[in-house]
Amino acid sequence: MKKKWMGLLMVLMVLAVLAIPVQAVETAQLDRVTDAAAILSVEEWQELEEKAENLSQQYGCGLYIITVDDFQEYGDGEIADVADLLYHYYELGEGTEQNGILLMLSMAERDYTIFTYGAIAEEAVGSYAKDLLSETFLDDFVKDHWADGFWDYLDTCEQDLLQAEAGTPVTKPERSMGANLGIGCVVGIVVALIVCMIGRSKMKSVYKKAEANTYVAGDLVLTGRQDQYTHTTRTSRIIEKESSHADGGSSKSGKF
Amino acid sequence: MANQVTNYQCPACTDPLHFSGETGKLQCDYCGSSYEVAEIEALYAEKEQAAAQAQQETEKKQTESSASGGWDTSGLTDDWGTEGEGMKVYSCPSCGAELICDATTAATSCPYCGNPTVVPGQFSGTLKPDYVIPFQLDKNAAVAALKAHYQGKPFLPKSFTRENHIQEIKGIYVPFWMFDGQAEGDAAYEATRSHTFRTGNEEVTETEHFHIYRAGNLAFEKVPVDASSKMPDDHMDSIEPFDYRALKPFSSAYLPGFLADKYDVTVEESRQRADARCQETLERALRNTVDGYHTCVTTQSNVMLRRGKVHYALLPVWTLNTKWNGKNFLFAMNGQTGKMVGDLPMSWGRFWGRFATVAVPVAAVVTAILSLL
Repeated sequence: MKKKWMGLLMVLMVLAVLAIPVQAVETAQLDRVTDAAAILSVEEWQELEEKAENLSQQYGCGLYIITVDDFQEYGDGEIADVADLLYHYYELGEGTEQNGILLMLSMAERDYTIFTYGAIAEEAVGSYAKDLLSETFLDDFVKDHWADGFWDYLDTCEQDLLQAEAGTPVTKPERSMGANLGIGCVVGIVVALIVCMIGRSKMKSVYKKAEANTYVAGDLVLTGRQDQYTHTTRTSRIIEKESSHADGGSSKSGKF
Repeated sequence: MANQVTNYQCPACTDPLHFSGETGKLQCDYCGSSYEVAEIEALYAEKEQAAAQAQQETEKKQTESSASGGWDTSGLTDDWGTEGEGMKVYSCPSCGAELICDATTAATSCPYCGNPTVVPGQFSGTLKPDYVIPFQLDKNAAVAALKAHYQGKPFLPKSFTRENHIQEIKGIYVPFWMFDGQAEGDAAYEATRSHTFRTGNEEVTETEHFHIYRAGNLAFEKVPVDASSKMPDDHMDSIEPFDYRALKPFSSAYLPGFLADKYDVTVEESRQRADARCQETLERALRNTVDGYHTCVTTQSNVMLRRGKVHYALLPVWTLNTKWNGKNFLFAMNGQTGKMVGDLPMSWGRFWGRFATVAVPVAAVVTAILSLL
């Protein structure tokens, strides 16, 4: 595991030489975009890094992207746990509250997680907003359009932060009175139908008998019995998981 | 030929007609219809001819029934011995019912159609039953059971219970064929067993598929099939089961006070019904031996029936035939166990009234709760 973290640091240093003026690195620092899985070109990385930096400064909330080959090489548990670990190890986030939104991709099993930390980030990208956010980039990642997906991620985070700043963060729309009444009517009709059909069934007592169980003399005599295994079929589905973290922060994870 | 009874029935509503000296016609007190005497006599002459023809056909079937498609009918006989001396038979010119009773009982009306005119006839060539289950419940019990049958029915129109001629309930011994036999067969099924587990972020379901085969046989004793075409099969099925521990060798001593119907459905005509029930029972019994699977679908089934002895029995039934709003309603009660059956009419007004009474408050409560959440 230690080797992998050193490897990550090596990537950062190479990128730092290419794009950022050389300066002494005293503590380990991650850029806004850390492409350890090398899925972006240098130009794509530069543009995304610039955009993420600008937005982070503008809204006081760090926007981060991390790609790795396999998250399990960086820590134990689920991808969300590793994202939490990296976020705090590298002291990501802006301000005293360390506000930040992190999108992490693990290429080995095609896992992703959206991790948010701090009041500004939690308000802007809550549970419902995370669902909407993931929908903006998943269709790109499914087709391996990495840069497009990351641009969608940054653009949507910008809109969410803007809305939160304006006092109208993205939240699940409330049901209207009309919708409540509609649901109430449907439930009322269903319950009334059940009650009335039970009452109606009491009016009928005449049925033709299909069997003659009462007239069986003795037990069934089994003369042949065979249970033969033929084959096995396998189906699977991806579980999308939302979780809260003990030290604060929340996440949404899934597969792409 | 017996003397004709001169009570005529109104063709419109079946109530008795009486002769009006004023109009010179036969008049009905219930519905007010009136008819010429010659018109009614011609109508009844036609019905008597139909009744006589029906009796001839029944007698013909009786002679043919001894050779009935592989069933052992050797036990059936029309030799009543000395018991036959006290027996009477009546036929109904309206519905063709053939009813027998002992010398002390008089048939005043047909228990099937309510016709007050039943014609006495010759008691001969009638098959003697092997068994009888005597009536264990009297008319009072039958009336009480029918009243209880009406209770707790929220959609029953009030006028139905008011106009129901409940005291006209009649006890009748209904003829049944009872079949002994054996069902033998096999069946094939496709079954599956599944289990689900998680690996990483995936939920995986593995389903094992099986091909199943079962074969076996079942014996049956005295599977009853109603031998009267005038008693609906579904009503007789619904009042089952009769407790065969009370089944006794037939004696006319059980008949006084009750009418007994003569069979008019032969063994061969009835056996399909018995076959179908025995086949279904064997198929279900084989299916029940397939366990430990989550799904099971039958792909093939073959059943063969070995036919045994046939018995002829009279079983006790209290019946009431009533008309309401132009529809006939038949109620039947098992004269041994007291089980009462009979479909009841629906009042749609009461149905929708109850519907609204439930739907509106439930809708209001659910809407209020959702608004508060």
